[in-house]
Amino acid sequence: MTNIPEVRKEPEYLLDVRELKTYFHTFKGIVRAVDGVSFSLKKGEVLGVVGESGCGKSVTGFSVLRLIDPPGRIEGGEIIFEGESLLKKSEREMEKIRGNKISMIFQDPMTSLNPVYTIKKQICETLELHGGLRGREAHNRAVELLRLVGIPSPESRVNYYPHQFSGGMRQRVIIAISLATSPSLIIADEPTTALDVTVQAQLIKRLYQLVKSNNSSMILISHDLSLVSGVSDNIIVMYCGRVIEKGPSESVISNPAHPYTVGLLESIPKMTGERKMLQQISGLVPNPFEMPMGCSFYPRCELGQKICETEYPRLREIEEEHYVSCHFAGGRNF
Amino acid sequence: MSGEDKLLDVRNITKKFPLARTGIFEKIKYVNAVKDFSVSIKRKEIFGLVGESGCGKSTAARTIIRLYEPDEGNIIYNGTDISRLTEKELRPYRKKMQMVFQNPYSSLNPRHTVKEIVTQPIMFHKLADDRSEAEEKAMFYLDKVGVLRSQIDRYPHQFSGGQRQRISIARALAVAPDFIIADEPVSALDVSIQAQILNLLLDLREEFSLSFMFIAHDLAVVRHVSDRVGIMYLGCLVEYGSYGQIFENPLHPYTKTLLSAVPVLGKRSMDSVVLSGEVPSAPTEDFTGCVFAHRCTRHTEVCLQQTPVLKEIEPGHYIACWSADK
Repeated sequence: MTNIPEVRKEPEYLLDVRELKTYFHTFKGIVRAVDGVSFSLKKGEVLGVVGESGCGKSVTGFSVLRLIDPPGRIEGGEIIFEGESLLKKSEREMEKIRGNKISMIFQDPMTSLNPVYTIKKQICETLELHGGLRGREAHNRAVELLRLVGIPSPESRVNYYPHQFSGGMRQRVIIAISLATSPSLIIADEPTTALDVTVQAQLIKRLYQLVKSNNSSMILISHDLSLVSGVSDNIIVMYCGRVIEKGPSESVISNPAHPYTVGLLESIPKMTGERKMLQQISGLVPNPFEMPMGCSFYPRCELGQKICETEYPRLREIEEEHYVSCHFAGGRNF
Repeated sequence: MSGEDKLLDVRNITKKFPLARTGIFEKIKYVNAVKDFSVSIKRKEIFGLVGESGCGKSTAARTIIRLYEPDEGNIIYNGTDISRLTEKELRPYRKKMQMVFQNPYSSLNPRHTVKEIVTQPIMFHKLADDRSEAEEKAMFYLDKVGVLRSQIDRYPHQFSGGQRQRISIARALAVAPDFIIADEPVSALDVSIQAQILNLLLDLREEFSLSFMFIAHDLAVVRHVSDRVGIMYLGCLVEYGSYGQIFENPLHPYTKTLLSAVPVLGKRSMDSVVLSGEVPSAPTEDFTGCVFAHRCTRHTEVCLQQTPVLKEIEPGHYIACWSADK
């Protein structure tokens, strides 16, 4: 991918998340869902966030929009968006940012639309709130948006209710709503997980083109490494609330360093080549209430040694822009 | 293929479901959920069945083990036609054909312990003389799938998704079946857990000489486990062959687009050929023509009028398409 040229006066990064900590205070104890996550995103960049269920990838996405409900709380860190700290903003100010400058696409197309309003009403609501468009103008824009996301005969479909659409079509509508205000950042949380592969391919392609043509950025959260590797410029891999590896897509996929990333890649059945016994990562993700002291992957790791048990490995650079949090990966040493 | 090692021979089964009437005097219309579906499965073979949601793969599987009654066609299991047997006559065959369901969260009774869940089918089919023998057997199978002896008095909610799927597998194994239908057994699981379950299924096949019908929408998973693969579209089997034939040399236009839509590690997805539109609803019973014709870039007049039948293109490789035989 060629780099998008730097945009005027703006800071280097569109979004810069530093040492973000989001904890959930439950009756059973504290769950450190996101525990010191740092990443940054340039304008026009697509960042893939991968990891298995419970690794904190969605909570990271929600935290950026400050959509964390009690008992969850953002405990520390910084979220700098367009040069301003989101954590210092009032709820009022956040409302202006959500859906306007940063919008989110949720996983489940069946529940994220309101069943009692037409599609038109739901798109126009966003246009009115954030874009100040009304009446005919809003209607025309809604039709145009539906056409953009690939819904056939949008003039009549705009008056449909959500139940009249299939899952794929609903997700298109949701993408249309999220694009309505030309946001500079789109957070897509498993946008195609509920859909079939052919529909997934259409949607991801469309979403990618729209994001790139608007010069927006996107955070694509998914459990599917293959999908993420296909569209992202950079990838971060999360495990137990922490970033364990990050770097340019090609580098992470072709030259994974962290034993967890390696295990993850080897446990995916391949579409080409000879069939081999799948490598499996032994054991289970640790209980969130009993996180190991040192490296959270230590109990399942083959490289593990004394130091891993007590000391959490900091992210270190092993190749250009490619970071890994492991004492022994890559160079086997510090 | 010789007739001897065929465990299951399904011939032209059709399953229809009634559609809601729009007026009270109207004739009830039926939709073909599965149309003219034929497949044969050998002993120790894994037959992978692929297709998008709503294509009828689960209906086909459920009809084969007679959870649904077939409207037409025959199901020959080990030489016996079981498609018209009564429920009572069917019972000895029930234990030979088991099923593992997709969702391990809803397919286990939350009020029974793991031991009870696995013991129950053994008792029902009278495969043990008394309860303690049945429990011994249950323990044996639980051990095989990797559930620890210390965990057997727990309830399903105390297990993770992967562990629960292991319990479902143990329950299916408990009655010593020959044939297991695994309906999306790994789609609810994370990749690292998915690998564990797939490896387990392959091991169990060797150990207990099992045949599988493996249903999944994830093509890479199907490619990994299957000996032969069938592709379904709108209730019809459009192509089947060995896994190599299907994945290296797909011939049906639908199979080709389906394969190109699968994201591949490290490959930019923008290069894939994308099929336009979405899967339409299944055709009603009076439909003729190729079900895929309207989305097919190569369709001709004949595709819209006559239903293509499965033809053998190379040994063991069948497709149902008018234009694909070069």
